[in-house]
Amino acid sequence: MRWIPVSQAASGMVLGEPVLDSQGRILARKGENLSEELLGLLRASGIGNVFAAETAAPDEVPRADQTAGGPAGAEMAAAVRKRLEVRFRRHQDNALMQTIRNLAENQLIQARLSTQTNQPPPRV
Amino acid sequence: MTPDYQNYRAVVENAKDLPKLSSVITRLLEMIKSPTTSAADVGQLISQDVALASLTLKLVNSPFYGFSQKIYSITHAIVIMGFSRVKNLALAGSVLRSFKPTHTEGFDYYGFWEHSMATAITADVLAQAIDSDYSDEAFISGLLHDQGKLIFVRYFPDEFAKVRKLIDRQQITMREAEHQVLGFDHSHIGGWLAEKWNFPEHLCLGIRMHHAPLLARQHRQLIWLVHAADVFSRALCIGDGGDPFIPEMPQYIWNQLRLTPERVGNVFENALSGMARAGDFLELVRAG
Repeated sequence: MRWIPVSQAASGMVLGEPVLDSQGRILARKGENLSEELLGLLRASGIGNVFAAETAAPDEVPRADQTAGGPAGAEMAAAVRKRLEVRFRRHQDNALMQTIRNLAENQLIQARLSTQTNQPPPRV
Repeated sequence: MTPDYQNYRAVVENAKDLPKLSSVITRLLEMIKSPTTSAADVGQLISQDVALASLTLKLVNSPFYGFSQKIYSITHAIVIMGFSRVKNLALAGSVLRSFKPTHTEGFDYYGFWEHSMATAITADVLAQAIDSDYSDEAFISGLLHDQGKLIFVRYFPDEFAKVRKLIDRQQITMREAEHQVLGFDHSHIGGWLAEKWNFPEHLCLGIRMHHAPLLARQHRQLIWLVHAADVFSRALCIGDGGDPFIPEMPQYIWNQLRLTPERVGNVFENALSGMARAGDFLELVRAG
């Protein structure tokens, strides 16, 4: 756990101890994630330093097989990845958001592959 | 709050053509505040409005729920699904029917409802996965979480055009752009409408706080569920949430909802499959 100035705290860090204002009211609880919104609240409340804990990121999620479904499957998977890249581009350094991204990617690719498999073969 | 906030609120609250809920739903919302209201009272009330009862039964019998036998009456639906779910379904149908399609440049009305439906289904699936006390309320809260956007687009088109431009030029979220233009966002506007419609407190808060889940002090788990469902449905790229980005999910909320990668993977799978069966709900939106 580190005692750091709020000015050096970054979105994605987790509070190691609760933050109280001068009246003793709880502004943020232990374990809360320091989002931009919360950092703004702490700055506005005149909080100077906070205890930051290390983020306990969930286990890494393996990515979907990139070769499943042949060339059409690979093309579809690339399109899914590109779309998610845009959606998640603000969270590239956030381990939790990357976990969510990988889970969504796997599910979307799997769902689209199963739709492709259930479709009649294209007419030649 | 700034004078602007109060002015905008007054415009919404005094708008003569604000969407109206059916009188039965208004009475229902009043009735459920009383602890003595029984399931039979609710069933009787919904059955009085033939159009509302038939709409509710259509949704109950839709492939979304997949009951093996047809349900013919509200009373029967209450026995099978429970009083709370049927009441929320009647409310969902009534709200979906009360909004008229908005054709505004830069706003995808159908995409909006697809996102709302996906958030509703994801919230429902997630609530069941964690065995939440809010299992009956998650669906309706997810469905209506962004209702403020419909009011924003309809009553403040000039401000919406500015927000649209900011999203495209600065690559920011709709909420961030709204704060730049208005000083507040659609969750506040949705909250005004929820209060005006006399929604129960938990539903008002689910709508009002879905973008500020860490500041929630009451009905926290419901607010966290709606926030998480919003993040997850956007991650699954369903519908149009107003911008192409995803709000950050705080680690604290992931922990509090006892989420794990395996659990979220299952939620994603069930949400996609629920969405594939949600045609009857979305048809209501198409019918306008």
